[in-house]
Amino acid sequence: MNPDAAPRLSRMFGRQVRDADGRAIGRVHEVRLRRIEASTPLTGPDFKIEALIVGSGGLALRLGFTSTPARTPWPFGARARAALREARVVPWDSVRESGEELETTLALSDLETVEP
Amino acid sequence: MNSRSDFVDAGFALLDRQIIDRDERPFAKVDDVEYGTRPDGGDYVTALLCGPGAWGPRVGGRPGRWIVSIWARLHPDVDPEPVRIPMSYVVSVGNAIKLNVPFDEVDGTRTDRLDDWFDVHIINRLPGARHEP
Repeated sequence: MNPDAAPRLSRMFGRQVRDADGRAIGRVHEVRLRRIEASTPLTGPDFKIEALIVGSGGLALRLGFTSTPARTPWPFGARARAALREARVVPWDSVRESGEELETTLALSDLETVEP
Repeated sequence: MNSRSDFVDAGFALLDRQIIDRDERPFAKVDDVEYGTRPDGGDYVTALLCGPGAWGPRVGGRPGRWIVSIWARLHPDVDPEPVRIPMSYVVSVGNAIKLNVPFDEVDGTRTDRLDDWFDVHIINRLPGARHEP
C-alpha cells in the first residue's frame, strides 16, 4: 500500500480521545460532516469534516437508532437515547494526533453534547 | 456557489451505501472515504473508496490484513490501490450514491488486467488449455 496515500476517515473510528487534561473521554464512533449542497443540479454536494462524535452514543447515531426512532428495536431505543446524552462533539479543528490516540485541545466541560 | 448546508454523519450517510452509476447500474458500496485539505484550511471529503483494498483496513486485525493481502496478490498491479471515485463524479447522495459517469470510466474498475492475470497464471496452466478446440 502507498504510505503517501491521502488519509481515510476509517482511521478515526475506534480511536481513544483524550481531552486537554489528558482524561479519556471515549472512542470515536462517528464523524460529523457539513453537507454543502451545490447550486447546480449536475454537481454533487461537498462534505466538510466538522467534528468527531465520541462515546457510545456515537454508535447509536451510526446505526441510525436516533434518526429513525420509530424503527429502532424496542430494547435498544431507550439505551441508545441514554448513550447519546453521554456522547460528546469534538470539533475537528481541535483534534490532534497522539500516537494511536487522539487528543483535543478542549476540556471535557467545553465539549457540547450531541443533538439527536 | 453553495446554497444550503446541514449536518450528516459519515458512518451513517456514506459508509456502506450503494453506489449506482449514470445508467442506474449498481456498481459497488462505499468501503472508505478519503479526505484532504482545501485552501480555506478545512478538510473535505475528496473521494469514495471501494473494494477489498479499502474494506480490509476497516475490518482490522488479522482478518483485515488477510483480505488486503489476498486482494493485493490477485491484483495485477505491483502496488495496487483501491478503486477511487472522486467526489466530482458524485451527483447525489441519498439512500444510494449516484454518479454522473458509467462505472467503466472509473479508474481501477476495468477487470481485463485481472482477466489477463488469471489467463496467464491459472487458465493457461491447466492441462489441455493450449489445445485447439
